[in-house]
Amino acid sequence: MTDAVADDPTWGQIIWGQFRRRKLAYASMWGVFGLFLIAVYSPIFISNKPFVWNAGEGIESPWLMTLFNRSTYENAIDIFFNSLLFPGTALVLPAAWLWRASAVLPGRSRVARRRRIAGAVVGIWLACLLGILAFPVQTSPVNHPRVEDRLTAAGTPPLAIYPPIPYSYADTDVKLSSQGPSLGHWLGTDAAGSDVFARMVFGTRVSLTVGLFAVAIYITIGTLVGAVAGYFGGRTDAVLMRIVEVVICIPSLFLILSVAAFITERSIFHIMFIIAAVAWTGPARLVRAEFMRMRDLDFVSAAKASGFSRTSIIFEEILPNALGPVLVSATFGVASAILVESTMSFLGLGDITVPSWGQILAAGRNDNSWVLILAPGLAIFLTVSLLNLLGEGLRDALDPKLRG
Amino acid sequence: MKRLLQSGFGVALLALLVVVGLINTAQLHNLESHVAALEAGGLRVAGTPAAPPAAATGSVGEKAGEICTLSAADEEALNDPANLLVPFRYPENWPASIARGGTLKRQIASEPPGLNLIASNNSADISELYKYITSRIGYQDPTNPDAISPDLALKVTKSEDGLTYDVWLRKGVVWQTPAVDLNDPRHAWLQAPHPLVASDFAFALELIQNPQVVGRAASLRTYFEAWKPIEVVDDHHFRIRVAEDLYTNLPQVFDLEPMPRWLYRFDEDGHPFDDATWGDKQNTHWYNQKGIGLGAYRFVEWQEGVRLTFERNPTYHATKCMPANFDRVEINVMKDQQAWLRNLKTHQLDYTQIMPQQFNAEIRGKLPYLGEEGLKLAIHDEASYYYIGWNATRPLFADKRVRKALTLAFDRAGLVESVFAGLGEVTSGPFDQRNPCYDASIAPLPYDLEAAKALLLEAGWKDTDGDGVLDQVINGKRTPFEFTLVIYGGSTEYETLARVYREALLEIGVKMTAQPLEWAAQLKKTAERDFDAYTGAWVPGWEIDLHQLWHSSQADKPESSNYVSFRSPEGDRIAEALRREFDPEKRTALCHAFHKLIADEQPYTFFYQRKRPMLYWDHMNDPVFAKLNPHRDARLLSFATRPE
Amino acid sequence: MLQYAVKRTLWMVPTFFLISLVVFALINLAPGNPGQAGGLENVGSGAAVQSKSVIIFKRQFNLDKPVLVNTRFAMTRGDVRGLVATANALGSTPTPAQRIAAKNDLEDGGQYLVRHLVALLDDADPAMAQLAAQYLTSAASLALVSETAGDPDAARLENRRREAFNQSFTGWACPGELAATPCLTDARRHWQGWWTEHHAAYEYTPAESAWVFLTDTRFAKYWYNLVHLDFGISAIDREPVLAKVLRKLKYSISLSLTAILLAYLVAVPVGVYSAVKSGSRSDTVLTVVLFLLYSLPTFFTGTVLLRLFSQGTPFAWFPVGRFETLPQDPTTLGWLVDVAWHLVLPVCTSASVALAALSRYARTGVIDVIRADYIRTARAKGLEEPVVILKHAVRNGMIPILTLLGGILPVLVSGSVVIEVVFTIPGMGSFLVESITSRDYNSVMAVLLASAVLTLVGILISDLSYALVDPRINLD
Repeated sequence: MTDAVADDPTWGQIIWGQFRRRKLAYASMWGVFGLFLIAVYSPIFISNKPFVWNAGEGIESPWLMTLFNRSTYENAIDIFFNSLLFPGTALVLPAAWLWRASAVLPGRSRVARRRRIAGAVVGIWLACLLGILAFPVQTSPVNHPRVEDRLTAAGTPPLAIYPPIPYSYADTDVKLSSQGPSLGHWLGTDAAGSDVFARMVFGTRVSLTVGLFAVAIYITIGTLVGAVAGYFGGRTDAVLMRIVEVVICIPSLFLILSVAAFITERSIFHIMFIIAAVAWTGPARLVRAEFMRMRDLDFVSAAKASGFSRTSIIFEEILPNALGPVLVSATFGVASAILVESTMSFLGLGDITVPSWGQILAAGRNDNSWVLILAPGLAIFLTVSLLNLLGEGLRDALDPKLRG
Repeated sequence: MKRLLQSGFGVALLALLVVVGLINTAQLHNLESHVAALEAGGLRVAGTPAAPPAAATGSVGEKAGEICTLSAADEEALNDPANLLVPFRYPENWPASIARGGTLKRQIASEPPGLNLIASNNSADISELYKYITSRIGYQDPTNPDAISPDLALKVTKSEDGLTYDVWLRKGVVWQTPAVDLNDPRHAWLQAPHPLVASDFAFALELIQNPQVVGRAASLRTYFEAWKPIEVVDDHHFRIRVAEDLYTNLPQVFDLEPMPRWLYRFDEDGHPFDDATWGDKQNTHWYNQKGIGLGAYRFVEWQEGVRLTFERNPTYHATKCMPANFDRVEINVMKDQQAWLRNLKTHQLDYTQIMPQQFNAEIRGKLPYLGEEGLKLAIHDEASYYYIGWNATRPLFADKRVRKALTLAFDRAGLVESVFAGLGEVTSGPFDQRNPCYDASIAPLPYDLEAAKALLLEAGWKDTDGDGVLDQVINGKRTPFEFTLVIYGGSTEYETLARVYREALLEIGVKMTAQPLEWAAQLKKTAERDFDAYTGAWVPGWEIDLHQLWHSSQADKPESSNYVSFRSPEGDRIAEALRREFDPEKRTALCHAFHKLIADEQPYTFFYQRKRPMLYWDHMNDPVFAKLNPHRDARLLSFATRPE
Repeated sequence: MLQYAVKRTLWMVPTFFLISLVVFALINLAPGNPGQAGGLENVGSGAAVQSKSVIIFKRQFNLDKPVLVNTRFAMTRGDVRGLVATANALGSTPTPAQRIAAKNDLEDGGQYLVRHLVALLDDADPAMAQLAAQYLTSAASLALVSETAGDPDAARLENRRREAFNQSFTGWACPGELAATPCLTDARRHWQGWWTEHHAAYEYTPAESAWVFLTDTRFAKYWYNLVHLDFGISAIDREPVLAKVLRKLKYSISLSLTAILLAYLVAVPVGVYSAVKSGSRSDTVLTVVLFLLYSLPTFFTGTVLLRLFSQGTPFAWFPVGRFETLPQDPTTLGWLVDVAWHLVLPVCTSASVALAALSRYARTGVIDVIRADYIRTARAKGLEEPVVILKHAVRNGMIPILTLLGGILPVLVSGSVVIEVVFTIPGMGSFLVESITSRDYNSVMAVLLASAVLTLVGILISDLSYALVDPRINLD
């Protein structure tokens, strides 16, 4: 986006230009990005681990040291976002500089350079993430605020610098249960005495993860099925479309609830898979239609004539051209996956070990607490709206009829 | 990633009774119905009534000078020294004045699965609704469960060898008219009045023992299994024969409720069922969605999703002692418990129970007026206790020091005070705290993380690898102290409880994962002993029998109730002695010894005994709460002044 | 056209079969023991009389059958011996889970176990022989047939015969404490005599095996009943589930239909207005507002409306949930008013979601038409603008949005799970949630299949109506 002047605009640049003109959608994109930043950087603002800690045994940084500690961040979702926070940020900054620096290069080599930069960033980060996941670290979980209280009572207060909100979403304190909003707890506490604001912010991570991963899974499945059905047509198509039809005919929320209820030990990952298992038919139909339309076009015939393999025709020639509508439906898909997940949590069919917005809302309904109803409700509303507006803008940008 | 996934899954567990109440509407139904299953069939075990109170020989029902027995012959039967029934007395706190008539409006959280007392599925609702329309052999004094006075029977005696019970019925007791249109020629066969006869009891036992009958019969069956068929001596006298002389026989005798043979053995047109398949027919009997009985109220209609209606039974036999205080009783189906308080305030209800969160949010600290002039609050005990069960067959929990440490780390008082709105009493043993069996001198363990750590260390648990989780070499393998706690699915209170407990455990180096499970899944896990720990609850019943829950013979038997595989030779001895001990003082001594043993062994972490708040308008008299099923008996409620 | 309709309708049959297969497999293969759900709670000990009930219960719901294929005819004597040994902890110490699994297998095996159990009567271990005699009484017993379907008199006769058959061998088993040799000798004699008479019924030729493989399964039985329009009975109250589902449909449809009507009533004028003012500031604002409305989760809207307007914080204008209060002896009008009063909040919640989508369709429809030639002609003829819009543009622009109605049919049933739960309306959605929690398989199946049928019909109607309205659509 820094410079699209020198060369002829590519298809992507045209779409981007169209998209930028839709102010609301453009703003929504930044909104979604903001949510993503909140999800990634929440530990900087909310954590019960001090950045700096000195209890007389030297200066240490429990905050940094526990970023990948399973005793502190038990859930894979947190580990994932923390990896974006730490090696992620460290990688993106130099990469951004290199990216910018490459602007002076001429067209072709600039693109190649930028591809390499992006590849390196993703590669290094993925390697870090896999390493972290493969070798989990656990240490004795020190509850620093409590240690601090003890030391202070003993007359030797430690040096401790905390993030602005010194709680974790898992902290509980029954003496402080069900408090209203206050300076210490911006949104008050829930029945367990946990800080609601902390739970809300970390809930962003849960929602975004469910949305992105569920959609990634089902877009992959759906695209494959649709591509195969659309490219080969005939009997393959008939069989695959029959399956699609069957899945479509079962009302999806009914199916999701039934399946979720019958899985007795469900985690947030099950929920992603269940959502994906029901939703893949949408992209499958889209991609199939695009393939049907395109398989007889000239460029495909040309590719066939030049002896390209089937796989490369499907994946390298046709698929990239069919991805526009898929991208749009994916954006709406993220929104609806977030809605489905929160609905399931609301109905008590979610994963209770993660702070999900739907679950907070269910607790609010139970405890008769306005804060616990409004905060998660508005958060879901905001996230879903932003995604829907973004998807809407993308759709319009991709629609040649609306190009002005 | 794999590890992460695993932490999401976990092992699991189960629970026998359920846990608590509240929650989302759908869950409540389940929950309460399991509590009821226990109350109705589960752990009830009883004893002979204690020696009759001092006034036994005097006249009866002193209040207002009413005499409940009817004739001289009746009086004579009642005064037979062999009679196990004691004269009727009004419960303590019986209101001084009662305004009879009017309509009582109350609510129920879910609809019953049917209204056939034996063939419909068990649920809280059916036992509760049936209190309105049934009568039993004897009337159990609500405030003194040991005293049983005449109801359908005037006299019950027990033979020398303890194997035979004779029951003499009151004469002139008539079944209620069925709730059908008697003018419809199809139902003309039901027109004649039907007196209660001894064979109705024989029929009830046949129903329970016929394996074709499912529903509630299936859970009752275990308790009546050892009974031989009832011998009908004449229309008003029958004989029950049991296999063994046990303390629990008598309460079982009083639990048998008659069933109208003249109704349930026939199809809608009055044709009798085949002998071969009549049991099967009960499951889908045409009258199963309606109720019938001999009690103070008569079933009128059931409007699905709206309400059940009862009216004063015109043929009720005990009108003089425990009459119906209302002309009508309307039981509104209100699945959303948040709605109860509001419907109370708008006078759609005369009284209601309040759930802990709502109590916390809207009532606690706002006494005495609650924002509405004329609303009153009463808090009563419930007989159930809640606990966490530890699977003793798992190496983690084999050591009683470990179990004690886990109890010490569980902030029971803090949770009761916050999450459960102070509506309960932390408890230390497997009995109702009001039962003489409960030894009040045994205090619950305190909440003390340091002591818990010390006990775990003593039991050999140390964090040797610095991962924050204690470990120990078990069977040659280094095992970290990690376990899964099964909690009741859909209960926000239990989710909260799990979060609080989990954090405390983490501090002493124990890693716990909570797994919410629906009832069916929990039952499967407990039955298969496939769990580490689970949250559960029992309604221990008034007449204590320890066999089912605590005897080692039940430990390995799949599907028996000793889920935690508790084994103690001393415990077995006490359990067996208690079954055959009839002397109240010796029984209490045995119970106390057992309580001490349990407190030392900690097979369960005992949590609390629940209390529940009830709100009512001041046009009602202060309610008399029965000790066992506080809300079950509409005869204990009355208006002080008739509502508008 | 007719041919197309018939063809499409016929296609629904195999699709429905596949749907039922998929749903059935999903539900029945999921973990969880149906024998324990649906009310048969084995609270007490696993006593013999109890277990007899469990067998009867399972047979009643075909829960004793394998889900999709039956291979029990291939069991060997060694298998059965192993099961008996495991279930009773003979000579080994199985875990409770293994014991329960073995016990279930023995309960479910039924007729397929008979020949092996007869052989086991001569087992060297007397305990095994005695247990074999015990299991024989339940394995050989015949399940009763349903007397509600088909010819009741014939069924009654058949049941008498079966019960007499079952009675004929009660008492041949030796209960635990009587396992002395004379009793066992008697049992052997009885059973072996019985076996010579009946053995033919318990031995399987390859053809019979193949038949059993496919037909003696839960799914085959379910489908057999389904073809006879028998959806089974609920495990909770033993009412036929079809009747229950139809009753619940009443609530769901009243709710959804009202919501849809309301949504149309609001959406069409809003859409037309937006289209006419297309591009203006008010159009933009309307579009964005409707769009935001679309993003509101229903459980949030519902909860908030309920609190705001029902629970007295701050208003108590509407009743809290439920479908009706039914005052005593209501008039029809009184009843209608009562229901309407209860439905205001749920209908608003439900309509808010449909509103956005519908008004967008209306807007696009009208915009497309406004650009069309005949509208220009109409204008050119000098007709007044409102006449042009209302008479020509709106009428034609509404066609696409009306064809949507067909697709709305399934929404009537499934769209309202959350709303029904939040407002405690006893419709299909809350019925499904309750049935799921209580593992009432027949009810869950019936709800899912009923909504699948509605979806199929909805898709058909919407395709057909679209084809009818738009001649450009090629039906082949």
